[in-house]
Amino acid sequence: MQFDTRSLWIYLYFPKLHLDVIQRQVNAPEQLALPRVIYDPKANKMLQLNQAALEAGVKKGMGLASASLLSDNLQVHEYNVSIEEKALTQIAHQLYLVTSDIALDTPNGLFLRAQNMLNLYGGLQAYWRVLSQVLAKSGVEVQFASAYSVNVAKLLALHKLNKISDDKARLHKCLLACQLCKTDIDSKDQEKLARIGIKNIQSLFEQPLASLASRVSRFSINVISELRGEAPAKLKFYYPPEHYHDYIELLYDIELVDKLLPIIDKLLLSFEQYLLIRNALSLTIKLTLHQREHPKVEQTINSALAIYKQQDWLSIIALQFEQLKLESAVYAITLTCPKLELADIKNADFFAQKGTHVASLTLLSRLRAKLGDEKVRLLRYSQDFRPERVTQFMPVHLNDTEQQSTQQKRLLSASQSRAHALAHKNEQRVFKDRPGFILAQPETLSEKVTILNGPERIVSGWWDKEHIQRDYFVAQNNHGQQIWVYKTPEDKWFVHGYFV
Amino acid sequence: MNPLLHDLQKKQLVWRAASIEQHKERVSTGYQTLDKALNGGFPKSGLVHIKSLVGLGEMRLVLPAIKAQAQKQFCAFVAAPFLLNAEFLIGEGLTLDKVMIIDITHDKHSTEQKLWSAEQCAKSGACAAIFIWHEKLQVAQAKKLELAAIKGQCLIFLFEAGKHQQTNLPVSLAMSLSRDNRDQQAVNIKVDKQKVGWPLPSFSVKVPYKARMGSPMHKRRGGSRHTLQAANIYALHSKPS
Repeated sequence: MQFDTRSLWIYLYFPKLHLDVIQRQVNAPEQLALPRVIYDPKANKMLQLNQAALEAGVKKGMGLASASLLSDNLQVHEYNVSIEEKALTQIAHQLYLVTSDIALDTPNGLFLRAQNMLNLYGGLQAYWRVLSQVLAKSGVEVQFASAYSVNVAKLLALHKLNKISDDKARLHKCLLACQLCKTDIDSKDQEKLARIGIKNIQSLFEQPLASLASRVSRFSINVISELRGEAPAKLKFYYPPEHYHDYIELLYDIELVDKLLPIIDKLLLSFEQYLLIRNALSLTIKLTLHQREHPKVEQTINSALAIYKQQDWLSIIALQFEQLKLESAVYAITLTCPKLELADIKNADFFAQKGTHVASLTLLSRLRAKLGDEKVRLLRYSQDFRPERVTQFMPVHLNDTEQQSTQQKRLLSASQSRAHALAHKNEQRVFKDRPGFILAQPETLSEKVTILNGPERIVSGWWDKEHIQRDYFVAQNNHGQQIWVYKTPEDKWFVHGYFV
Repeated sequence: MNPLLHDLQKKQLVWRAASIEQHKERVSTGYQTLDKALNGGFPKSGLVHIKSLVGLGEMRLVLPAIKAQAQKQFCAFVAAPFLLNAEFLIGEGLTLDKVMIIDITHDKHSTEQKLWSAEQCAKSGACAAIFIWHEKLQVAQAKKLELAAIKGQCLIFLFEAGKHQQTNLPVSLAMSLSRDNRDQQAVNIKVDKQKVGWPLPSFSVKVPYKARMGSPMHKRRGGSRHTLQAANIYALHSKPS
């Protein structure tokens, strides 16, 4: 997309993004105090250093050997560009909630188009205050600058201007003081320019663009004209993904499930914030544990009630993980949420119903997580004369409770209410002299009983190959137990239930 | 006052006859004789230990008490020895939507899982009553269930068929059920222990095996020839959908 040269832009530069990501995962304060560096093994260069490393005398661009001589407890992490990119996307994600046009400058910079947000926030300073709050929350070091051109803003930010202003004259003055080496101009072209005495921006601007055109590449010309504010910026803006996906690499391998929970807790916290901002809830999340030497373990965590809170998720996960056995150490965890549920306002009775409803769904989630889905069941009454068919056991479907969208509910409600009325009618019609317990398999009657009532003949099921003909009796044995027995046409007696 | 006694009273482990009014919150059992013996009915919340063989009417004895509450809250059946009959539960006036069955497979974890489920159900506040079948409950386990029930304001009915005697469990109410063969409708109830009251020797309560409303079948049988035919037609057409 192209933009005019009159928009105000802000560039955010994250000089130690990789290091900040790692420091964020560290819990213990004594770990934080250790000198820590990000190291590029290919170039044998230190890229990012924390304060402790700087104090130990390690410098940027130093080799590994000299750095480790300077500090014996130096923590070295290999530079991984994908980690920075992911962190950058995350920051963009958070910023997206307060500002509209964001462009990624991978791996560690962001362009923000400030111009169209000024009216909304009522001025640049107010806008910047909101931005800096978000940035402070993400806890990464940032250098920033504003300018009327994308590349100028970037250049000023790289020079640690750290000022947000819309004063054109002052910005131009700052720009003139900048060095050429931090611009996007090709390093070969920079050399060529240096040879003709152009070493900073001021001397570059003194020459007309046409005189440079024959000396440097087309790309560099574009950059220069953009710096001069003569060409529009071309940027592709960031759009947030629709699914939640988070991946975290552990600092060390973990073999115990219990030890994983605090880390999952952190993942859930950022997930909670993500949901909270969107006024969304979720019913299912998927946790993938990447094992070092075995295929990854995927765990789907379901909740009967749409929830967002980290503690709620954690309690379900903790129960489900009790049964989990890891084959080898886990080195990374992914948390994904395939579908978000919109939180709708429910007008329910403040005291009675609501509390019970939430409590019961929470209870169901907990039971299912610990015991397994098929262990918690509901009963259904089915209209049949065969006693073994009357009761149908069915697993608790989460769909029945919350997942149905309101649209579906509306469609179903008419037919459901009819079905419900019918069921209600049936419930009035049940036989009242039935035992509370039914034996799954009728047992042969093996003791002496007294008949209390009967017979009651049940002949049914000729249509589906489970034809029965039985004469049922209520009987009582010597222990006083009242049992339901039946006699087949072959004069065999069976126990089929207990009147509890 | 004796400091020990004072201490116990503060923890509500002993009660004084003068303060019996405080413990008047009872749930009527629906059986007059039983209500009288239990000072008005079951306690509002707590663990009720019922020692009974399967099939003495033990469930019919307690279901009327929780019927009203069970319309709003769940009834959980934990580790029932046989399959529950939906028809029976409807006949006793329960709503099937509010009946939760928790099966526990028999393995080395079954005791732990059973008690855990019951405790969770009780604590959640989502259940009106929990029915659990378990033998040889330990004192500590009973105490845990009792506290969970009080926290969740519900009743836990613990059914035990075993013959071994253990009377000192910390429960709100303990009863033993038996039936002799003379009167088929009566169940003999012995109150082994109750909070706010004395243990009572055996007395009999009529617990018919039929739900109280009577069987529709019997009504039809008693009806005219015409209605009998109507009933038959109904039976012919009621194929499962």
